[in-house]
Order: sequence, then C-alpha cells, then structure tokens
Amino acid sequence: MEVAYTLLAAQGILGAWDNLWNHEYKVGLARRAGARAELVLHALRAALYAPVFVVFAWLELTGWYAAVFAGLLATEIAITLLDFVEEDRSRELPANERVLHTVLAINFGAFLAVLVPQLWLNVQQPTAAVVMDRGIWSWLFSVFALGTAAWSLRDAIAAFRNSPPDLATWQRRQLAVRRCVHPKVILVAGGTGFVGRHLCWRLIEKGHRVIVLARDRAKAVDLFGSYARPIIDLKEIRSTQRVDAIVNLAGEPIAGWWWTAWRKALLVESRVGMTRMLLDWAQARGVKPAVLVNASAVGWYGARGDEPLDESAHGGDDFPARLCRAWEREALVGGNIGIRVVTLRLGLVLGHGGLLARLLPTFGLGLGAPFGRGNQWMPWIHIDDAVDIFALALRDVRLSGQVNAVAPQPVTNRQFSQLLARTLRRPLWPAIPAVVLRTVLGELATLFVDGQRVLPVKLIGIGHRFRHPALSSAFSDLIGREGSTSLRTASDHG
Amino acid sequence: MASCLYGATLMGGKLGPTLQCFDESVRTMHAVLDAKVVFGYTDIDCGTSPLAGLVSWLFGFPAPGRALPTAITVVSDGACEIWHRRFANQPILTRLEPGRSAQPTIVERFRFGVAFDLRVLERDGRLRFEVVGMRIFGIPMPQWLWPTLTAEECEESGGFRFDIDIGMRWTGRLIRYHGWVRAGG
Repeated sequence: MEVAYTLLAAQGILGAWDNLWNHEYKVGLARRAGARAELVLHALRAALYAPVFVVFAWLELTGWYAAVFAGLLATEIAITLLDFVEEDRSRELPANERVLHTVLAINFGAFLAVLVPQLWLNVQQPTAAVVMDRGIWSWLFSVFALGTAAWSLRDAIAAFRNSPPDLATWQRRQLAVRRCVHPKVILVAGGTGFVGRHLCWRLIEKGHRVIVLARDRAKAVDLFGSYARPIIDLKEIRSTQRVDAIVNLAGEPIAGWWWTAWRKALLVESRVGMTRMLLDWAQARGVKPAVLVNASAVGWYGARGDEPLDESAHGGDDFPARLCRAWEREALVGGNIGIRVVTLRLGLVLGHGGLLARLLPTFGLGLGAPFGRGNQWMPWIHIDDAVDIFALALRDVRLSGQVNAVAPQPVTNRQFSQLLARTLRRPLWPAIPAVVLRTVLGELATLFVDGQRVLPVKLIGIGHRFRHPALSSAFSDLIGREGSTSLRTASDHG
Repeated sequence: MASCLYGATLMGGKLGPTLQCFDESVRTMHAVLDAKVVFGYTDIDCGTSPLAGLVSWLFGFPAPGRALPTAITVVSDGACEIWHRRFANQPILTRLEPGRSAQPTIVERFRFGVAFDLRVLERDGRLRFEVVGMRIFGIPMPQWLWPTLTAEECEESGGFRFDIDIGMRWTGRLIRYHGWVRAGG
C-alpha cells in the first residue's frame, strides 16, 4: 500500500497546487462571473476528498464500509468528469492548468490501479472499521483532509455568492454614459487588465470614445460591449481616424511567475516593446496624439528602506528598477516627436482584483501574515484614485514626465497586514521569514520583502485631492463593497 | 562618458575601448544597461541534412522564410545579458556571460545545457564571433564536435544588421539567420 499512499500524497500536493495556483491565483475562480457550476463541483469534490483522506489517515475499512468507500471514489470520478465538461463549457483553460489536470487524472488512475485489488479483497471480508496508525502518512493525510474540508467550504461560499453568467460584464456594470461636449478619442493599450478596465469604464462614462487594444477581443467585448471599439492590432485603426491620446497599460503581470530568463524577457518585451510599437505607430500618423500616459511602477526606485522618495530621487538597480527604467525611457522618446508624455509610477493598486484579490482568500481564511521583517514600505493606491490620476494626466498639461501615483500615506507591510486582518476580523500570524520567501520565490521575493517609501509630491504640488488618502478609508470602501455587493466584485474580475 | 557607459556592460567590459570602433547601431545593441526591445525582420535558411532540421526544431527556429517579423529583447544586469529573439513569433532565448579567459571571450548559453565559448573580434569595423569552446552541461566537448560559425554584426541603413551562419564540418549548414533591426537610440 506504500505505492497507493505515495500516489495519494502526490494527488493531494498536485491538487493543492491546482487550487492555489490555477483556480485561485491565475483564474480567480471564486470571483469569476458565471463560475457557479464549476465552484459547486469543486466544493462537492473537495467535500468527498476530505473523508477519503481521513480513511487513508486512520482507518482500515472492510465489508460494506469498504463498498461505501468505493462508492465514494466512484462519485469523486463522476464529479471530476462533470468538472472537465463544465470547465470546457465555461472558460478557456490556461495551458498549464490543462496539463496539470491531465497529470492529476493519470495519477488518480494509477492510484486506483493499485488500490482497487486491495479494496476488492476488503469488500469480501466482514464489515468493520479498524483504527490504524500509519505513522507519518496518517498525519500527512490528516493535513490534507483539513485542507480539502476548508477548501470545500470556501468554494461553497464562493458559489453561493457568485453572480449568474447570463449577462456580460458591461451589462452588469450598468455604465452611466454622460454626454461630452468635446469627446476625445483615446487609445488604451492593455485596457482589459485590472487598472485598464476601470479606466476605460470611467472614460466611457465621461462620454469619451475609447479604442481598446487587447490581445483578447472577446474579453474586451465582454467588458465594454459596444461602448468601446476593441482592436488586437494597431493596423485596425485607419490612418484618417483621429486619436487624441494614448494610455499604455500593457504588460505581463509582474508577479505572474518566477523571474526566469524567459519571464524577464517577456516582462520587458510586453512593456518596452509595446511602448515602442505605440510610438512608432504615433510617429507615422499625420496628426499625432497630444499625450501618452504610460504606466510605470514604484519598483523604479528599487529597495530603499525608510528614505522618503519623490519623483527626483535616483533609481534602483534590481530587476524591477531596470525594467521600469527601460519602460520609462522608451515612453519618454514620445517627447522627441511632440507628444506630451506622463509616466505614472503606480504603487500597489487596491481594488476588486489585483493584489487585494490575491490576499483576501488567505486573510479571509485567517491565514494572513506579514512578509519578512514587515517594516518594508508598501506604497499603495485605491483603484478609484489611480483612475482619477490617469484621467488627470490625460487632460492636465501641467503634468509631464514622471509622476508618483501612490496614496499620500504609505504604510509598512506590517501595518498593511494588521489593518487588513483587523478589517476582516481575522487573526494575523507571525511574519513569514524573508529567507523562506527568497528560497521559494527567488528574485521575485523582492516584491514582497523589499519596499520603498514613495510620496506623490508632484500630485500634491498641483493640488490633487485623493479620495482615499488613508489605507483605512480604502479598506472600508473596498472590503465593505466586497461584502455587500458580489455583483460588483464579479464584474470587476470579468 | 561613452567609455564609462560601455564599460558597465558585458561587451563593453570585454572589448573596452575597441567597442568605440563600431558604428553607433552596433554599440547601441551592446551597450544595454537595463533592457531594450528592437524590431525588424529576418531571413532564415536551413541546411538540407536531417541534422539541420532537428537542430533547427530543437532550438526553436521557425520554418525557413524571408523577411520574418523579428523582435529582439535584451535584458542586462551589467554582468550578464539575456537575448530573447522572436522570429515570426517563435521565441529563442540565450544568455550571454563573461568568459573566464583573459582574452575577450563570452559564453553564450542555449537550451539543453549547450554553451559556446565565443571569442569577440573586431574586423573591418564589424563585430565578429569565433567558437573557441563548447560544453554540454558543463562538460567540454572535443573540437570535432564544435559547430562552424560565421557570425558578424554591423551597421546598415542606420540599423543593426546581423548574419549568423552555423554549420557542422561533416554535414554543412545547420541554420543561417540574417536580418536587420532598428537599433534606436
């Protein structure tokens, strides 16, 4: 049976990885509109896995008990098959999730091949349930049982809160479009991302005409319907079409994967390359756009301890700093062809999506903890303020060059974690040591254990007022909304 | 200022003042302090032997063609450089590191643990590379296994032209890719 235990342990580990990485992190299944059926199936399957793990941890079943247990396994297979069908029906699986599901199916098949002959022998014996101590296996499977039971509950709650799939995101969003006397035509690259979609919704509501440059046309249509024009190639814009401004938010997610050489190249290519393409396109036009608002990040400053940093501070030397430097340098070339360029160094953007969506499940389960020493600064900004600043940069000619787009009251990672845990009324665990994060995440850990105390000096200088200058205000707004309106939450995730 | 700038880069450290002999586009491509992306086109020719097809496929080259859309991304941390080439949307990544030799050599690492020691030369204002060693997973390979390489980079029409022809002594050409990208400032 050692082989069966090993295969079951592998199933548990791979399943946990699938849940945490694919379902939770990559897809955000719990907050994805129209994912109710899949969440129900996941909740049921996890609910069945919990007793399976308990049996393997502590019990030897024979007779009718063994037959019922076999029925449990058969039900689990049936649910998994239904889940395969539902996944293909409701969403496009990322490549690694598809591969992982296949590996899980093969592993489970191998597990059954080893288990079934023994189970058949057990069924033929008198009915009994004998408590067995299987040493380390018992404790490992107990942990898995607790984990799957907790995840079953989490998926069941998410399914209960999930919004129906019958409406597109733009329909659920209920855009209130105002009439604009002088509407601008604004090209938004990366408009389907977390910040991009909120900006597009705002611009549409203000009465501007938005062209969304995205990789996935269907996603853009789902988000904006006929309110915006989705394109996947700049060649789709006719040379006679007027474009007044460009916003560039395109870029692979910085924390989406370990920073391997491949990943670094992709992060650079998707940001710097897109910026260059936009400027080449703009340069070739008869009438050039007046302004380019290009995203950047506070990572430009590198790891800087307690030093207060305004826009004039020098840059860092780690990978995020080099990436942002190259990105900004490329954008600022726009100045040479007569375009006003604003590069917004964004802090961690808090909203229904992005960082907060990653943290809420962990903190919601009472498993939140600060990172490293916890005294690293976390420059942050509420999504509404971020959108305000993009809109301001588009219209206010006083803004040009680099601008720190962060809230005026930065907090340390410990303060952030404490406030989030307190807002959710959950405990806060001791900090995860930096060495653990650096070992697991490599260079990527710098995003979690290093920080910079960035201040929005330029914005304050022109008298900009923030809607949420304090983190407590941002959390009460966002987490209050999270609790009360699942519709908004789902729509924000698309 | 210029020599100080180039000195902080991989090729600047290896070639020193010699780098000044090259035209602006070549210097720009090898003076990347943080990251750079350039666009252009590439022609790809593949040898006729089965080995050529296998090597081309293993190392991620697209099917032979003319004027294939090309994006080259260079990511530098000062000491090492990642060169990511996308020919017709097929990505190929190599890593350049300083060689251990006192001579101007660099190490170019490909996938499957394949690494070449390349001597960096300046001839007629062109940057050339010459194979002086080959290792697989760190194990030095005998010279008869080394590929033949004709590789040079120069400026053309204000852009960066590259011409890399790789072969084996006993089978002839494996792959040749040559193209042009706008190096920018």
